[in-house]
Amino acid sequence: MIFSCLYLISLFISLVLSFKNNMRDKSMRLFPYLLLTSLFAELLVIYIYFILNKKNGEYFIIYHIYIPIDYLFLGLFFYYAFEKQRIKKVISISIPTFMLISIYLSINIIGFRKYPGLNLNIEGCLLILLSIYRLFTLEPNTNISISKHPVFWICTGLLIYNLGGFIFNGYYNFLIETMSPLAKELNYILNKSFNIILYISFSIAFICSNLTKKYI
Amino acid sequence: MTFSGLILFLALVLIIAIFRYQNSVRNLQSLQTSYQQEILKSQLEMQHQTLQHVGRELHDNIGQLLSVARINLNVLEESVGDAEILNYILQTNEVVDQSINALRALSKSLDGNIVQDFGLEESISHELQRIRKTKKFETEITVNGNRYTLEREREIILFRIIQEILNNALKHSQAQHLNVHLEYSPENFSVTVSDDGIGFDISVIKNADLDQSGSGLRNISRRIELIGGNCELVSKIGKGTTINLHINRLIENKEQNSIS
Repeated sequence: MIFSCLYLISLFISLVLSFKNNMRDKSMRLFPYLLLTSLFAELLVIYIYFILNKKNGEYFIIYHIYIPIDYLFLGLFFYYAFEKQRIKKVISISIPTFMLISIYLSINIIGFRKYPGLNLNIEGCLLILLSIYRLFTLEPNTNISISKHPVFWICTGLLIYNLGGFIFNGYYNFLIETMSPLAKELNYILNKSFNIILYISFSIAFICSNLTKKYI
Repeated sequence: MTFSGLILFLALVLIIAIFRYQNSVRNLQSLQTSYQQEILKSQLEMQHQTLQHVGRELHDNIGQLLSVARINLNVLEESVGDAEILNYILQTNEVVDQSINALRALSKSLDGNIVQDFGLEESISHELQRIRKTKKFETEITVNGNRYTLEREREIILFRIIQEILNNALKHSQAQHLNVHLEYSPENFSVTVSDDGIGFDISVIKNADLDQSGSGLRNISRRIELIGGNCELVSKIGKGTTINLHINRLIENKEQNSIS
C-alpha cells in the first residue's frame, strides 16, 4: 500500500511538473498527455481492483490498452528528440508496428486477463535501445552539464525502469501460475519501485527543463 | 546475479554517455574559442586597417594642407609691413606649426607599422612622449632584461592594448604620473602600466550590470588572451591603478599559428 501511495504521489508530482517544463521544446510537450494517460490508467486499475473488487486479472486489460498508447507518446518523444532523419524514420515505422504487434499479442496470444509481460518487454527493448542511442548522441551544450540535461534524466529513468522490469516481465505469468502470492508481491514491489524511480527521473527532467530553458 | 548484471550494464551506459557528452562539450568549447578568436582577429585587423588609413589621411592630406598654409603664411609674413598684422601672422604660423607637430605625432600613433619599423619599446616611448606633450602628465618607461621581439602581429595587438590602457588613464585616472615597465624574461614578457590617480573599486566594475560596465576592460582581456597572455588589474580608491599584461613567450609559435 505504501508503495502504491508513493507511486501515485510521484506520478502526480511528475504530472504537475510536466506542465511547467519547457514547452518550446517539442519533445517535452508530450509529457503532460503521457502522464495524464498514465494517471487515468492507474486510477482505472484502482477502481476495478478495489472498488469493483475484481482481482482475477480483470484489470490487466487496462495495461493491454495502455502499453501501445505509452509507446506512441514515448516514440513521439524520441522522434522529436532526435535530429537525424534516418532514426526519425525508424521511430516513425516502429510506432505503428509496435502498436499493431502489441494489440495482436494481447488478443491472440496473451489474452486480456493475463499480465502483458511480452508486450512490455518488446516495448522495453525498443525504449532501451532508443534511450541508449539518445544518451550517446546528446547535443553538447557548453552552458549546461549533463546532469542538468532534461533528456539525460528522461532516458536514465526509462533505462532503469525498462531494464529493471525486463527480466521480471517475461517470467511474471509463469510465476503467477506457479507461486501466485510471491509473484504478485514481487511484481507489486518491483513494479512500483521502478515506476517511482521513473517518475522521479521525469520530475528531475522537468525541473531541469524549466531551469535551462534559456539554453535549450 | 541478473540484477547486478543489469546495474552494471546501466552504470556502463551512463558512464559512457557522460564521458561522450563531456568530450563533445570540450570539442564544442574549443571550436567556439577558435571561432571567437577568428572574429576578434578580424575585428583587430579591421581596426588596424582603419587606424592605418586615418593616420595616412591625416599625414598626407591634412598635414600637406597645413604645410601649404604655413608656406603661405611665411610668404605673407615677408610681404606685410603692418606690425600688428605681422604679429597675428606669426602667432598663426606658430599655431599651424604646433598643429603639424601634433598631427604627425597622432599619425604615428595611429600607424601600426611604427611598431614593426621601430619596435614595441620605441613605439610606447613615442606614445608616452605624445602624452607628455599635453603637459598634464609625467611619463616614464623602464625596461628590465635582455630585449627581444615578439611576432609582428602580437606586438601590434599589444601596442594597441597599451594605447587603450594609457587612453583610459588619461580619461579617468586624474593621475600625474604614468609609468610603463617592460620586463623581458626568457619565458615571459610582461608590461606593467601604472598610474598614481584616483583608482577605483574593482568589485564595483566586476559586479556592474552589462549596461553599466565598460567594455574596455573586457576587450583588453579578450585581446591579451588572443595573443597567449593574461591581464591582471590592481586598483584601490585613492591609490592608483596598475595593469599587468603577461605574455607567454614560449607558446608564441603555437598561439601564432592559431591566430594566423
